[in-house]
Amino acid sequence: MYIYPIISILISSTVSYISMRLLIPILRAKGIISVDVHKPDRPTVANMGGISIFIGILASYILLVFLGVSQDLFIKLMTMLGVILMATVLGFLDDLKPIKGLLKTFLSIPAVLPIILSAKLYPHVIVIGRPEVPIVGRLRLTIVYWMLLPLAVAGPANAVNMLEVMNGIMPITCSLALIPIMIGQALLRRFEDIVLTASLFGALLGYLPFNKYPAKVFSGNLGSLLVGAYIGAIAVLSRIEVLTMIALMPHLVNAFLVISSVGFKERREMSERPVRVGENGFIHVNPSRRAPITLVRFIVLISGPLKEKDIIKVITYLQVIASILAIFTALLYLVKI
Amino acid sequence: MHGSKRAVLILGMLFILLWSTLILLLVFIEKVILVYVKLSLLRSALGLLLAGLWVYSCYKFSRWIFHRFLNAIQSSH
Repeated sequence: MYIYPIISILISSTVSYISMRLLIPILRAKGIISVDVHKPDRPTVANMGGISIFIGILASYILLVFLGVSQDLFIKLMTMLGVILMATVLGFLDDLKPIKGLLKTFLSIPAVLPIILSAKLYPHVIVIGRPEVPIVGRLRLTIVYWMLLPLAVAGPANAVNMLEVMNGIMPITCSLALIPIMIGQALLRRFEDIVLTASLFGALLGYLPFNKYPAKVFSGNLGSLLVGAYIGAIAVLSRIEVLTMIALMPHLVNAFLVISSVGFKERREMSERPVRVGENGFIHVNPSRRAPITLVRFIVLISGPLKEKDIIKVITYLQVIASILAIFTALLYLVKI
Repeated sequence: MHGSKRAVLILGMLFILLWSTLILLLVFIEKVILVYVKLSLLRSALGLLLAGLWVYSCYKFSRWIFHRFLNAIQSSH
């Protein structure tokens, strides 16, 4: 049992790395490219790299099934597969033909359906409405949880999607967020669930070398929606919603700021940009009151003009702080006052 | 102080503040609401109300800090 997470990480990282290496020239040849707007020379970069994360996760799932996992873990693997398939299809469609922000948020809600279906079919394996809350313990939210459930997958999916604005931010922040999640799962003795988290962790590690600054490939909406939905689904399956919320703090703060300032508009729908790129490569804050409030704009507002690489470093440090706080939150599962 | 370090410090402090208020809220729920409120439905409603208030305060506080910095930069121009 303890070997499964290690196998998951090894397989998903290797397959994700190799598939990305093979896919980049194909994506470029097919014209699936985007402009890197935060660089002064605006280079074109291959897009939809998130597909290699999907392939990496899928490979680890297939191997785990061949190794003969328990029936409970098999049900969870199939549930997760259902969630990521729905998120991946939505992201793929969004990459092909841009979907408006509010509609995309609405369309990401059904990604929670595989979890609801599995919980109804296998209530002894997947329990809904009993979140583990630090200090308070296990809650019994019969009605309220079902009211919030549509946001459980759609929320993180869109939050991760909204912060994916610069090279490497999504794989760096999300892989760092998965560390406290795995610690929380271990402390709550949800050892089977660690396998699920490890699959994504490995896939992100394999993908990171291609997406880190200066990026050779972008994840696309496909990648960020898939990863965000996956993290949300893990939170529901392992009943560690509060811990996951803390681990995703930079994403959630960014999403709150953006929604509060411009609603559910996509980057391309915004009339004013939050930041502007100078000729020397420095990113400056847009001082207009009408510009959207984003985490990147907040950072540049406090620090003054920064290069893209420095902004990525700041967000990485902020994610490290959030992950440390999430580890403290995980330890609080053991505390009863 | 170097600009990026300043940003990490200020936003990191904001994260720590949000986290610690959440933990205080959980302690309050455990020690007050779950002890003194006997009706289950009322407990859920109060818990949700407090959680909602926490989210709203986090949002308002983050925006307030942002606008303080924005005002400072606009008055210096």
